[in-house]
Amino acid sequence: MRPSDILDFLKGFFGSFKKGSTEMIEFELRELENIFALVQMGFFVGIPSPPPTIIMRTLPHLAREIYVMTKRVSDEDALSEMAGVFDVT
Amino acid sequence: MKLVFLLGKGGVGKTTISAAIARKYSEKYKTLAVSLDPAHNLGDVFEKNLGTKPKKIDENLFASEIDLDDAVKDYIDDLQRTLRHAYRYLTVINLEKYFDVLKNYPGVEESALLEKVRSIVEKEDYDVIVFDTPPTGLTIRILIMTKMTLIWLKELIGIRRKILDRRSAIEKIQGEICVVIDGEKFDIPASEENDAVIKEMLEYQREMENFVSKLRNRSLTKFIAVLNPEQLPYLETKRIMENLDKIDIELSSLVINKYEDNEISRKIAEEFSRLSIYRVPRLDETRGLKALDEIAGLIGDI
Repeated sequence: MRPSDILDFLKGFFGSFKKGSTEMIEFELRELENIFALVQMGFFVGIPSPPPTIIMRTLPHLAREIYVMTKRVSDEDALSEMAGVFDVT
Repeated sequence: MKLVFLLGKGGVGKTTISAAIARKYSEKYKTLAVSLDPAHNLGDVFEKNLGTKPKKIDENLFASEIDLDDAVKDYIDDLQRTLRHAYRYLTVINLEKYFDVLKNYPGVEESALLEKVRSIVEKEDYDVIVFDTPPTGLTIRILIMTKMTLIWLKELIGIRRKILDRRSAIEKIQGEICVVIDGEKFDIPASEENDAVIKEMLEYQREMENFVSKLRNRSLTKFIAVLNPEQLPYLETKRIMENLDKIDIELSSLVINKYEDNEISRKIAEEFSRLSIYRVPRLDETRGLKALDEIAGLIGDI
């Protein structure tokens, strides 16, 4: 075994720790981002929405978030993700 | 700059009184009379054809009529322009459908008028602006919209701060966050300085707070109710006062138009005793500058 292999192993070992350490915050962040974007687009699904001028002024800056939200709807399975985060088997 | 808003039931003579008040102010100050009422007749009172652009009526006196449909159209057009620019690379969202929904979205009329009033107050260069308002319901909704906007902004800014807080926590551990959309890489802002969304909301909050504080400042802004000595206008004026109370705005004075000494007139004087009350009797001619001068003389320094 070469020393670089050990280094790679350690990198991977700590890397997975690092990834795991933010998993919960990332989940929370995604939900907050969803709520924020959903409130802006709420009139499509009938939830109370802010006055139109607020939507009008923030929408141009929200392109990425709305893109990610709509993509998630088609790509991801929210229930299994939640089960994964909360260790439900 | 002084602002004067005239409120009251339809048909009580708001337009005539607002024109007379504008006429009175124009003796000393550069004054603009603006009609926000969808059923315009400010032009009839001044005997001039008016449009959105202020027209000179006399030395120091200008007047304009804001068309509600045009205001809504401008408002939506503005939105379409900014959105088309921002979302040009996005085909996921059907923009046309989005605009159709927004056009009929509750609150668009009020918002469009509110923004119009705000832009007149911020941009036009006059010493006094007199607003002849649309029927009571719409006017109150426009004023309440200012409070609603501030409540929503406070909540949304709160959520946005939480998002940025979580992002910066993740960034500290994982390094910069970014996302790739259609091969184009976008950095995700994690601080208030870099986030355009929160900056826009804070800017709008500041603008709206400024405007609201102007409306609430009694030495800058006057809310004047116009009514006739009849039961329905009297009841509506009472409701106006209650509704203004909810948004911390006080009526400053009352004009009884087509005044006659009857039971309701006495009731009005009693009920609104803490306001200054001006009485204008029924006049044969209410059009033209001469007639307005006569009414202005009756009102005095309102």
